[in-house]
Amino acid sequence: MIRYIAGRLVESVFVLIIMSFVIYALIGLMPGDPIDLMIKSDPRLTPADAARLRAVYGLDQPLLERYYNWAMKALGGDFGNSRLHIRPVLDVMGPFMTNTINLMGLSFIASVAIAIPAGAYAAIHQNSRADHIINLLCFAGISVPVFWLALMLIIVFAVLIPILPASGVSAINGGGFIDTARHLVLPVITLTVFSIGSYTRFMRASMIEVMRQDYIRTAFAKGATRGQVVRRHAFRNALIPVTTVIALSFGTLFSGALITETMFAYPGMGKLIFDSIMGNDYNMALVTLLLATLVTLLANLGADITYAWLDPRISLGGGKSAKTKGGS
Amino acid sequence: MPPPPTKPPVLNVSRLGVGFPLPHGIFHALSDISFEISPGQTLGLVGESGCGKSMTALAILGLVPPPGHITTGSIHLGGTDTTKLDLDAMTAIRGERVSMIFQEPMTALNPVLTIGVQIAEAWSLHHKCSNSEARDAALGMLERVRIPEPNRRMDAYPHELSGGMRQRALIAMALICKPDLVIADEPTTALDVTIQAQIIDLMLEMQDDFGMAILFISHNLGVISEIADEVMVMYAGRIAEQASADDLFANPHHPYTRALIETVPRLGAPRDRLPTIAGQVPEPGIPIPGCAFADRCPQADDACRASMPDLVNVDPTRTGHLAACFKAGHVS
Amino acid sequence: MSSTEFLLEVRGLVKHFPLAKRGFFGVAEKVHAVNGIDLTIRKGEVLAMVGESGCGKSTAARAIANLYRPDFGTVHFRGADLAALSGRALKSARRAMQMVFQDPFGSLNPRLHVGTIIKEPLVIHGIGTSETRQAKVEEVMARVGLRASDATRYPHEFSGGQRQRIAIARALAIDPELIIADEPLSALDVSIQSQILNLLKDLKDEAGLAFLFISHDLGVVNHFADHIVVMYLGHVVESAPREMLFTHPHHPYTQTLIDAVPVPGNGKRSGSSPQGDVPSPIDPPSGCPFHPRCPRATETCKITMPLLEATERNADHKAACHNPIPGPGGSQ
Repeated sequence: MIRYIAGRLVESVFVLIIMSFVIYALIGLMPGDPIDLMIKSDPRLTPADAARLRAVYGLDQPLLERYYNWAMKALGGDFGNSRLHIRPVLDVMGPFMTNTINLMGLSFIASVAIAIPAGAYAAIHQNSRADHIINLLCFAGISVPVFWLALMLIIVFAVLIPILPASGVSAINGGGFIDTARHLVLPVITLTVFSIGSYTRFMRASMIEVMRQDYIRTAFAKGATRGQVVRRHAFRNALIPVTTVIALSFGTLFSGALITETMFAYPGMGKLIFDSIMGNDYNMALVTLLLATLVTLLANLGADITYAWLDPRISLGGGKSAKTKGGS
Repeated sequence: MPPPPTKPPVLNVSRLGVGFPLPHGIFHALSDISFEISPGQTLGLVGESGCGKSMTALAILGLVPPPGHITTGSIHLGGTDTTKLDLDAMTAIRGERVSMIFQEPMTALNPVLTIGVQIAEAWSLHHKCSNSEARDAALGMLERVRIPEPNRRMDAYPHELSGGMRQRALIAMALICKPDLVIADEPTTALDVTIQAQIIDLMLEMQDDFGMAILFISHNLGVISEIADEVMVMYAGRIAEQASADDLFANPHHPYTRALIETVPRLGAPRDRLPTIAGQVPEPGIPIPGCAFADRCPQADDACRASMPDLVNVDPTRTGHLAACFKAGHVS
Repeated sequence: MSSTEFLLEVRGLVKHFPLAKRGFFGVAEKVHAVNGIDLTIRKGEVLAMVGESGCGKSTAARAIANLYRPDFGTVHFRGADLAALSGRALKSARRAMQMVFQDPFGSLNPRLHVGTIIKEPLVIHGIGTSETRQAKVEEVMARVGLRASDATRYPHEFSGGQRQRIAIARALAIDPELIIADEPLSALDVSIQSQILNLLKDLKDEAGLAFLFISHDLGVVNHFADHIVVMYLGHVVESAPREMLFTHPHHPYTQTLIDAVPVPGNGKRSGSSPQGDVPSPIDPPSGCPFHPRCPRATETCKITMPLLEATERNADHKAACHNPIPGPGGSQ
């Protein structure tokens, strides 16, 4: 297992290196560069000035050279400065990261904590009224557009019944824990609604499939009550495919909350990535996108490990579990 | 004439019917099933797919899948009518007084739990005990069923064992509470023939040790012959013929039984064209007014197609040889 | 070196499947599915391969049908070495060899009409015109006992036995000379098995079709085969004409198999069943693969692999055994 993880981590490093070049090249292929933006905003710049500025920033060099320079500096820990924020990239990223971790973390925990039991319950009481209600809520959650939901929540809870803040991550003069928490409530709800809907449906389907299996019938035949069957036999088997899906979607959570962040003016990584790409902020875009790649890679690895941990038939790295002897 | 059984029967099924509601009516998966099994006796239940043999087993355990349900009749296990029990009482009986061995050993075991845990559970569900006591009981059973290296196997997962070993584990699981009745639903069908022989030997040995009754279900007449004292042939949810194993194979009365016996190719038999049974098993759900076998039966006439024959004693010299056929007793 | 005396000639066929390596530096384990087998089939002859799980019979059949590329050995079909052919020549050679599989549900495409399924081989090999193909489809459907009106229906509308007929019709459509049938009866009800077996016999008699027939059921094999090859863990342990195999088996495994077959009417099992489990083809025993379970094993058996050699009685009867069962009146 250790060997397997080590191998995967080595693979991840290679992927990151390749991705860094791909991202760099893609951004570089976008029309326009930072100097163009400066020219647009300052009509007094002459083409000669522009050429000089390009030389200063190194923007007149060919792509490969620029990439190489960036890579060399990056290996030394220097990821450069953010052009938009006029500060080192890593410094800028810090608070955005924290905000995203809060938002994502809470949303993830909330959705899993609600979806798994709800899905299991709906499956066990299939076709009952509770099941129909749960299904309806799931479909609603999956179908509702994020921006509409955000707006509705803001209208209801920040305007009509003003108990929660409408935007931002903290109050203007300082924060404190409660304040941060209050600012998180609406964004977390917005983000969670969709994933609860989807995970619940998935857990329900998996549980229904598991309850049909022969070994469930064996458990009943042994004299187990329904509760015992569900807890000891069905649940873990049903979780196997679900955890893989959840672990994989964890990777996308990191950068995918753009709309929510925009609606709530919540300074998170999604917005940071978007702004840096649109603003041609090379250094920031690169680093944040690479971070997103790394999170996805780690989430994939986590999914595989969790899957192997839950299902003894799967062995990572192959070999050992194929001990099945002949004999049908 | 076989001596009458001296002990009260372990299982007495009387006029059992199981139905599945359809949009327009009801499909009778089982109709009018009656039989008895005495302690230490093995009843073989033979039939092809759709005949209702598995459904009979599930009915005895109270596990008929909804929306199916028991429509008529009674099932007396020891003194208790299980059709009248509530869920808690039924749950207490399952695994303890009656247990079941299922057909596919691979899918009948939970793939994410070790077999030690699963066998121990069969014990701990019915006995208040510690984890280690349950584990000891499970290990003891694994030894009894002659699994090689039982200690190691306790912590093995089902997919790490061969088919024969998995079936031994299932047998251990079924016997650990020393039930009065064990139902085995096609336990050897998925196994190689040499392993099948081992498992049959094992079951006979266990029966000698524990004295339980066995209801052995199979479509394989040879296997039934090797293990059963009494045999019941089922067709389309009804009993076609019922007799001691010796009598049934020596003097089959129902045309279906006869055809089944003749149609199986066997070693040492001449290589002529095999007798076949024309047509196929009737579609479930379509009611048939007369005998369900009539349209495949070489001896059927209008009377057969008009009404369902009763199960009657066909051999005046012996009691207990029953057949549901108007033509029985007139063996050509 | 090929011989036109045989329709199919297999020499030294070997097929192993590598398993995933254990860790970065581990050695890849292999499944030793087929370990060097020879067999021959003449025109119109039925050769049966029998054995239990892990013996390699299915793998061998697929390697012969060119579904797997053999690792070593040659397969000569109609005098031509299949491994040396490619493209059109291979396709044309394969035209005379068709396969019927075990699972009548899985081997038919559920989205196609039955008529289309049967017509497909004709289309693939570019035989005939639209009209002649239609006529051929109707002809083979009649041959296997299907109605012409069945051609517009889907596989799921048919029973298992009928689906197997469809699979056989499909195999017949391009007039093959050899049919490789991998357990074609195993998934069928008992009363249907005899129907299909009779059909296969008729095809052999009327059309002079040769068969490579794989089965674990000795009763079926007794009814259909001319020559039998017994396999164990990827090796041929005995090869004999049918009657000789059953009357005087030489290899202890053959005897074990014969003894294990349950016969209806023979009464309850008594006495010994074969010991031990079918071993794993991943980690086969040393020397003779059967020695751990063999009642006649000697020290030599543990060390040296016996070769398949003709027995004293008959050149056609071969066995791979250091200590074969003595014939009647002969001592070993």
